[in-house]
Amino acid sequence: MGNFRVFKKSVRFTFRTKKRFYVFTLIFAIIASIIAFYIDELDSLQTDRFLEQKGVVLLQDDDYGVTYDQGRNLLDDILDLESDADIKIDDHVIYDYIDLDDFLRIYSININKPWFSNFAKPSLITNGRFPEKSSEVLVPDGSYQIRNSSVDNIRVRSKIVIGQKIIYEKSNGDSLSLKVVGTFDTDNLQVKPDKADRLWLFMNTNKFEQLISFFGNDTSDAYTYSMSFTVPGNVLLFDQKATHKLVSNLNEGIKPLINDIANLPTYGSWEPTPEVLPSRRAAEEGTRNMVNLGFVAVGGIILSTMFAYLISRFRRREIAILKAMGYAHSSVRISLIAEIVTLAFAGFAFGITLAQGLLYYLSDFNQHSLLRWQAVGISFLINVAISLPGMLFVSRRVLSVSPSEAFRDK
Amino acid sequence: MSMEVIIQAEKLSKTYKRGRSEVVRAVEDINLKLYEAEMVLLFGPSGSGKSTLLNLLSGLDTPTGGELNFMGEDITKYNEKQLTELRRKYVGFVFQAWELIDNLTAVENVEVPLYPEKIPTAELRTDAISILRRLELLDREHHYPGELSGGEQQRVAIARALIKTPKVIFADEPTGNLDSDTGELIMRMLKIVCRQGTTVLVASHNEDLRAFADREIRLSNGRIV
Repeated sequence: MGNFRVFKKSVRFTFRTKKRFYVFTLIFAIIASIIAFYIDELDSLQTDRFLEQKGVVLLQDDDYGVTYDQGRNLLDDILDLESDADIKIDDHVIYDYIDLDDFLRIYSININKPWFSNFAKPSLITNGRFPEKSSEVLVPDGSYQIRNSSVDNIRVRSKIVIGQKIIYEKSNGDSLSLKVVGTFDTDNLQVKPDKADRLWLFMNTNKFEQLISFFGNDTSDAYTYSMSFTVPGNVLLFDQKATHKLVSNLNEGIKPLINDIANLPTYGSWEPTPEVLPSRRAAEEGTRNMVNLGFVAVGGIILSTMFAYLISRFRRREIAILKAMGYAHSSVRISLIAEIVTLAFAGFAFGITLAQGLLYYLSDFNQHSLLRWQAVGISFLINVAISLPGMLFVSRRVLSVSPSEAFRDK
Repeated sequence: MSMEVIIQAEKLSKTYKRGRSEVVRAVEDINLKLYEAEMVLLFGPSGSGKSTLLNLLSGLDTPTGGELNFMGEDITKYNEKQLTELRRKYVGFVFQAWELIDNLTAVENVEVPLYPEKIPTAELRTDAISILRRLELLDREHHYPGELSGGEQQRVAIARALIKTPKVIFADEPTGNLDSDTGELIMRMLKIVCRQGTTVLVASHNEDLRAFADREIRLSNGRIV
């Protein structure tokens, strides 16, 4: 009860130190957000390197085309590869397209897994943002909507702009509404859209299927464009060797399926799987990242030790009073720990909130640009972990001072 | 009726080094006894060794020579932990600069010595308020030190010393930062505390305080004269 009360009261009193509280909260906020950004960058789960690190991407062979059913056959059989103990699949997304009429082609994407696509992903957005709702769609840069005029040989060509609503209506009153929220660079598309041709819309899978049925078509009329698979772990940070092995194993497992000419009728024609990140490069990058992380941790420890030392200097007189009154070392240490932990926690909460708010604002309110909770969580653990050595170092130092000396120093 | 000896010092001394070779004798050959419930004035000019002696007698500092008995126990060989325990159980302090904690209210400053003890929080608050009432500070309980006058702060410091019901209160220049009326009020309060059974040792260079003491010990150049 005794030391727990010391801890509780010290946490409460920390908020009353005003200037000291604000200054150190700000310092810890900066440290926490730098670490969170760094972890997020290292882990790369939100970046272009996500698929390079832990994914295998397949693209249809454009000369032949892969039907919707062939795409599903291949997907099912690749997922069946997991029966081999050396192959593990963490997640997957399949991408389809269909020409609904002479003026419209639609592609499916998964708005909840934006980085699984290597052709329509947040980093390729040139204007607007990546869709967050299923009614929101992307269009390639410079898209036009083309329609026949009621006059023969005249076509209406209108430029698609961000924020534009595209509403499909049936004579019976049924309607389906889409909103263009972003345009993207078509560099990674296998075939570029022809501006004189159909409008291409990229939308979430459920809306893709709704639109197919709205136009009276069936998924059997659709084609599979691409599919992406990821393995557990992360080549560039944790379990680099194990993850790299899993990527290679999956890649090797897929190759015979799509390369065997006998499988053509079942799976359709696919481009050869790209080579995975070479193991040496993966290992080098992994080591480099771990070393960088080490530097961040050491830098954090030095900084937090410095701040913990400053805090203890500010509290030197107070610690002398407590010791004079008969506070045991353990009680004084708990009081110090309570203050530093409170400041680290407040700084972390403030820093992450500020960083997320800033990212959200700078990305035009795109939630996919926010720091992931895993990065935030790791940052929190590192923040607490790096506070500990500093705290223990300064508490030893401060506790060795006799109260009479501290009074003399004032 | 014989009074219990609380503190007894024999040939107590404290020396320390200044620079490489100079030895400073802060106090030397101190023989004294402090009895239960008496108020003693440790009188002497600045630099005479009053604060050093106070620190030694209260267990804030360790002597370099002589013997020091506190409630019958020789504390000269006590380690840091034992001295802390001694201060926690038996000693209260009142300092010239009050030494209150700025971000704690008056009542919290009074409670703070007992936070590590296994006393229910509600009981602790009741005790603290009752002491503040005795010291006529009840309406100031939720004020921070910066919002209190010098006299009020010193009374809070006395309340903080009293909450542990110590055997001895060591007061180092308790009126040093106060005007004479407020200083007199503080001394009267310490006198009341003393009459209730606590030994009070006041170190001061102010001759006016002699009127409140049961006896006085004069120090000059680190020796009793």
